[in-house]
Amino acid sequence: MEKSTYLTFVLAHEFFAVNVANVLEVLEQQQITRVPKAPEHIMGIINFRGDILPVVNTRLKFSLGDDENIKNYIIVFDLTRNHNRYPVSAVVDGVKDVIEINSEEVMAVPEMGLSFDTRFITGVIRRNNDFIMLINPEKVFSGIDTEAVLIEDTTNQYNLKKNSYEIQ
Amino acid sequence: MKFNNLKIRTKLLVGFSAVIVILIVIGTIGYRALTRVGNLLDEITSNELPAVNALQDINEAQTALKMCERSLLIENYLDADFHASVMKQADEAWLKIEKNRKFYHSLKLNAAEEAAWEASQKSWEIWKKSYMEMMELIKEREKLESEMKTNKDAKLASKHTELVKSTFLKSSELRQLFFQSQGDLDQVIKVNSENADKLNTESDQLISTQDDLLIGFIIGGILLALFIAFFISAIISKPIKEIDIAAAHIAEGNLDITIEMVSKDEIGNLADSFRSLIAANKDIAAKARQIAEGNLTVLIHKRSENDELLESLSQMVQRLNEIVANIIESSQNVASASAQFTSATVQIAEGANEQASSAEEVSSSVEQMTSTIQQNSENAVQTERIASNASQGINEVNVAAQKSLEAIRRIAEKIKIINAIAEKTDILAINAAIEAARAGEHGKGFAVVAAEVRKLAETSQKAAVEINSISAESLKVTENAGNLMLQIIPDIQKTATLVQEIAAASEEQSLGANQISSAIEQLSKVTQQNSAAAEEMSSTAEELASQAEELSETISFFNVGKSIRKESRTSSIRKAPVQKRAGNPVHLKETAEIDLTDKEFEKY
Repeated sequence: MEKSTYLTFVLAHEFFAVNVANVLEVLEQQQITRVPKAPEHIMGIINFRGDILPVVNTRLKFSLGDDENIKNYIIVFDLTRNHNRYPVSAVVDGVKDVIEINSEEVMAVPEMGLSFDTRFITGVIRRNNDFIMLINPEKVFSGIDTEAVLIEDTTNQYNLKKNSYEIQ
Repeated sequence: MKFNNLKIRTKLLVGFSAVIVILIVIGTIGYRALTRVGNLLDEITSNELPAVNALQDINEAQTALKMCERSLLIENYLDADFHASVMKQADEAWLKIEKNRKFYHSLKLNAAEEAAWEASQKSWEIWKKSYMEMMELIKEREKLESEMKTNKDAKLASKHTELVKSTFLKSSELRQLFFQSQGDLDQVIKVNSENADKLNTESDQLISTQDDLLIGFIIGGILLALFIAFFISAIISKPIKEIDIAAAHIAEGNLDITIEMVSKDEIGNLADSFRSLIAANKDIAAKARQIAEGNLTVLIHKRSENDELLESLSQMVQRLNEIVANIIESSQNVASASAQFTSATVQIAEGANEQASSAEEVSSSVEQMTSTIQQNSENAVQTERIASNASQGINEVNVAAQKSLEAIRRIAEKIKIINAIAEKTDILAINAAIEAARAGEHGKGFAVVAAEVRKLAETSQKAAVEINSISAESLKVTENAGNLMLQIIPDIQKTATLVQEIAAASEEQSLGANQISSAIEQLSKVTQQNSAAAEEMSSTAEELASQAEELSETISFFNVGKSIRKESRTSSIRKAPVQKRAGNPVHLKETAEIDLTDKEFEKY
């Protein structure tokens, strides 16, 4: 029996959870600098501890429909691929809690018509009559759309791009 | 006088006819004289004058012949041409004499002329014959003379001397004959001129006698015409003047005139018409006088279809009849009315008494009402004071509510800050929890702290939310209360003004009540006057009755025929006691008017 800690958040009335190992920090709403010619689901960039991070519109990414009126939070993910760490930020509707989840609790994702892409979902748990979907942020936020913005990471830029192609 | 009986037209015709006859006589005389003078002149020009001319020509021609003879007598003297021309002249003279003698004889000749002419003709023929013989001798001599030019024979010369001698002898003989013929011709001329003189004297005589006749007739005609003109004008103008004077009198209204002129002509007819006009006017005047004397039974007949005067007079009489009848009826009505009037006055008196008692009752009621109104007025004043107090209090409450609203707003602001702090704390706690989790076993204790902090943050957030909702609610309530107060304030103010109006109305009511009370006092005075007036009216009614009687007496002046009069009489007697009480100034006036018209009638 293995325990792991998760951060739960809300997106379009659905509950999601992500492993805290992949989370650097939760930020309150910030000034987002918009980038010209960026893909639709990239809202822009922010300054995080001196680094420039892309901000992903998670609602669009998950195809849940944009809603500009909702007050949102930014989760800064700490992602690693091929031993390279790269941070990505994503906008969510609200941050819920930090919870512990047993591996036994995790249920497989049913192959049904849900309102989001199930490829990002690693499993589902049930808490207080609510379903919480566990997501893998590395799968969610990998791809040229996010990498393209990471112009600051000069050391591994080429590799990173190459790798990302390979993964897809 | 017979001439006077003729019509004016006839008179004029007769006069002018006389003048025309004279004119015809004058004309005839003149014409006849002229014709006769014309005839004489005609005879002179057609007979005597040509005769004289012819004789003159004969005389001239004979003288010319004498000249020729003389010329031819001279021997060896004349050349052939001259001789021929003299011979020619002589022939022409003879032709002329014969022509004129023939012409003269063709004219009309009287016995003396004829005789003279016969003598002249004879002597002329003798002279002619002798003249011809001498011509023969002259021709012979000339022949001889021409022979002698070539043949100077002594025989011839002696023959020539002989011929000359015989020629001279012949010439002396011819001279005797010429004088004879000339004397006879002179005789003819003398007879002729005597005849002409006779004709001249005859015409002169004729003209002078005709002149006298004409002048006589012209003077006579002028005198006759003047006489006729004066006579006819006198006949026409005199009667017209008389009628003119009569017409002027009629125009002035004087009918006491007579036209004495009698004639059968048009003026006589005119005079007759005027006489009948005067008679008709007198008749009308007599009828009018009868009407003036009050006799309305006068019968008036129209003289013709167009007689407006008598029609108007007839209508006037008819109208007067109607008016008098109306007056009689009216006086009866007045009598009955005065009786009713008397009973009415009694009722009025009773009514006045009742009115007086009612007025007293009303007066006491009004006094009660006045005191009630007074109380009402006082109450209204008090109510007004209370209302204004309430309005003031509510204003104060409203101010307090505004203040509390402000305070609640401030609380809400503070709570927002608290809420923000709580949110931040929550995020901090989450971040702390994340950090703790990432620290693994070493962060466990920190994780507990972070969880606690998060719990605190959540609790404070919840509390803030609750406070927020409570303050929002109290804000709403306070705003509501404030609005309600604001709504109430005008109502209260309106109440205050209404109460003021009530107070004013009460005042007016009390004033009105006072007026009513004074009016009732006046009413009672009037009632007393009414009762006095009713008594007066009763006496006036008596007077009215007596006036009506007087009126009926006055109107009896008019004779309107028996039926109406009798009726009026009986009715007036029957209604006498009632009439005694009657009397009305209006009716009095009517009688006065009728009197006036009567006087006017008398004037006419």
